[in-house]
Amino acid sequence: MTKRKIDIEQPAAAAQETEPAEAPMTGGNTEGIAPAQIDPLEAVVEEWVSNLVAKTPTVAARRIAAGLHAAGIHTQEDLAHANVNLVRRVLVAALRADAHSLTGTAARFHLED
Amino acid sequence: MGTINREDILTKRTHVYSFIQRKGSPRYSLELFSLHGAMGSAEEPLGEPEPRYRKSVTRRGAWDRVGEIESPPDAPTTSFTELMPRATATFLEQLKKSGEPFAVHTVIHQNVDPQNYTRWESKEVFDGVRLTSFTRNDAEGDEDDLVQIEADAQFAAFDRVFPITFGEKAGTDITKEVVAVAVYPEDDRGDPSTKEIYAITKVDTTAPKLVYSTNGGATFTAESLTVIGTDEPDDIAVVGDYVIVTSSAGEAYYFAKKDDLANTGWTKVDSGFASGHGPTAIYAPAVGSIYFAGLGGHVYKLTIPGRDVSALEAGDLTAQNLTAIHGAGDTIVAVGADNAVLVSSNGGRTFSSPTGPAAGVAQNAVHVWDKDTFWIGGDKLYFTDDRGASWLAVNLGMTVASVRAVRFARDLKGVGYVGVVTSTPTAHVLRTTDYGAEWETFSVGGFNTANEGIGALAVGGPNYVVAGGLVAAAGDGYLALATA
Repeated sequence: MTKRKIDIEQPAAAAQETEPAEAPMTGGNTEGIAPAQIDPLEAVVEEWVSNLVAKTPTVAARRIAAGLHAAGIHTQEDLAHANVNLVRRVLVAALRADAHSLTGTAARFHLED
Repeated sequence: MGTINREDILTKRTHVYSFIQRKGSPRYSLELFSLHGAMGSAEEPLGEPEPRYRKSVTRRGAWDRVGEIESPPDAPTTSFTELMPRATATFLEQLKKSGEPFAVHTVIHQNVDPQNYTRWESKEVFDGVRLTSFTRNDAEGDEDDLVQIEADAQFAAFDRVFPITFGEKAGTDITKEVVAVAVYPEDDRGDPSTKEIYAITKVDTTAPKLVYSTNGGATFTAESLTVIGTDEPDDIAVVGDYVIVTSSAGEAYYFAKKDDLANTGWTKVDSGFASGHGPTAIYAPAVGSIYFAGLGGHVYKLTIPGRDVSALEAGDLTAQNLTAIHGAGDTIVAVGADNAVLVSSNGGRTFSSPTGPAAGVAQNAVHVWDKDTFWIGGDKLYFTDDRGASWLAVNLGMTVASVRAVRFARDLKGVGYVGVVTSTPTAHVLRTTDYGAEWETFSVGGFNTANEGIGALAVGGPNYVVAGGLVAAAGDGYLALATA
C-alpha cells in the first residue's frame, strides 16, 4: 500500500520541482501546469478499477466469496491457510482483473477521448 | 506443354494463364508467369494396388491371389519452362535460389486483361510447389540471345476451383438462429452424396434444434434436443462416430453416436467443468484429442466422448470469455473477448498469451494453418506467420463491422472463407483462392442479402461451404449450402 502511494505521487512531486524554474520564463502562467499533473495511466486505471469494483462493490465481494466457495474455501480459517495461487486465480476470475481487461479499457478509453 | 503467343491472345476467347505466388501467404500477391513462360502438364500418380498371393492349397506349384493392398502414390509433379533474354534474370532462377515452396495459380479467363487474376471462370491452385531439377539450355550456338530454363517440380496439393452458389437448406425446420455448423468429411474426397451436414439452432421454445443431413444436403432431419433444455448451445463438432454439442450455459457437453441422433440418444456430461466456466467452442480433430474453449479463460481436453473433461488452462493467463478454438498438429489456439489469444504448441500441455491483434476488440474466430501461421477474426481479419508476434490486418475489399467465422479448406489451404457482418447489419460470405491475398464475393453467389448475421461456417473442400446464422432480428435462422 505504501509503495503504491509513492508511485503515484512521484510524478507529481517531480513536476513540482521543475515549476519554480519554468514559472518565470512563462510569465507566471499557471494554467498550463495543472493538466500536466494528470497521469494519463492513472486515469485509465481509475476507469478500469471503477469498472471492476467501485461501481458494484458488494457484487464484487459476493463474486469473490462465491469463487472462493467454488474453490473449496469455506471458512476464515480455510482462507487464511489457502494456496495463494488458488486465491489469485479466484480473484482474477471473479473480477476479470486480467491484462486483457486493462489493455482493453485503455483502448476504449482512448477512443472515447 | 503450352505456349502463349500474340495470335492466341487476339483470337481466343478463353485463355489460360499461370500466376506464381512466391509464398502461400496473404503477404504475397500473384505474379504473371505466362508472359515469358509456361507451366507443363500436371501429373498425379494414384496409388497402384499391389496384389498379394499365397501358395495354392489345391494346385501344386501355383499361387492364389488373396487380395491386394494400396501402396502410397508417388508425389504429383509438374514442370515449368521459361524463355528470357540472356541479360534478364528469370523467375525460375529466383525460385530456385529461394528454395521455399511456392504456389501456382492457373487462371482460366474469358476476354479479360491477362494481368487480372481476380476474375476467373475457373482456376487451378497448386499448393506447396518445390523445384526438383533445373536445366538451362545450351550456352553456345548462333541464336544465343535467349536463355531457356526448364524446371521440374513437385507439389503437395492441387484442386480446381469453381464459382459456387448458395442455396437455402432446411428452411422449414429452422426457425431460430443457427449458432454452429459442421460437415463431415472436411475434404473433397469421397462421395458428395454421402456428405454429412450438422447444424444446431438456438433454443426453440423448449430446446435447441439439431438439423442434419447425411446425404449431402438432399434431405434434412430435425431433432429437438430436450436433453439440453433451455440452455443455449454454443458450438457443434463431428468427430469419429460422435456428434458433440457444447453449452456454456449448461456448463456441459452433449454427445450422441452418429447413427442414433434421436433425442433419446444424447447424453449430457458436465463433470470436470469449473463452475461458471462452461464450454463455448470445440475443436475436435480426432477422438482422443478434443478441446473445448470456455468462459473465463478456461480450456479443457476430452479424450473419449462420455468421459470427464480435464482443465488444461484454468484462467491463469486470462479471465476473458473464450469464443473460438482451432488447431493444427500440436498447435492449439483459442481466442476471446478483449483481445484474448491463447496459444499452445504442445497439444495443450502449456499455453502462452501473445498480445492479440487489436486491443480491446472481441476476437470471434480462429483458424490455424500450422504451428506459426494462423488467422483470427475480430473487428477485421488478422493473420500472423510468427505465432502472434506480429499481425497483418488483411484487406477484405469491403468495410466490415466484425468477422464472425473463418475457415480454410483442409485439403487445399489456399482456399478459404470468412463470414462477416457489416454495420447495417448484413451478413456476407467472402472467399479467397490465393491464401488470403484477395477476398471476393463474385465466386460465391446466391447468399441472401436479408441475412443479418452469420454464426458459423463449415468447409467441406475448396468448392463446398455451409453457412448458418440469423435472418432477422425476429429470430429466424438460416442454413445455406454452396457447392459446385
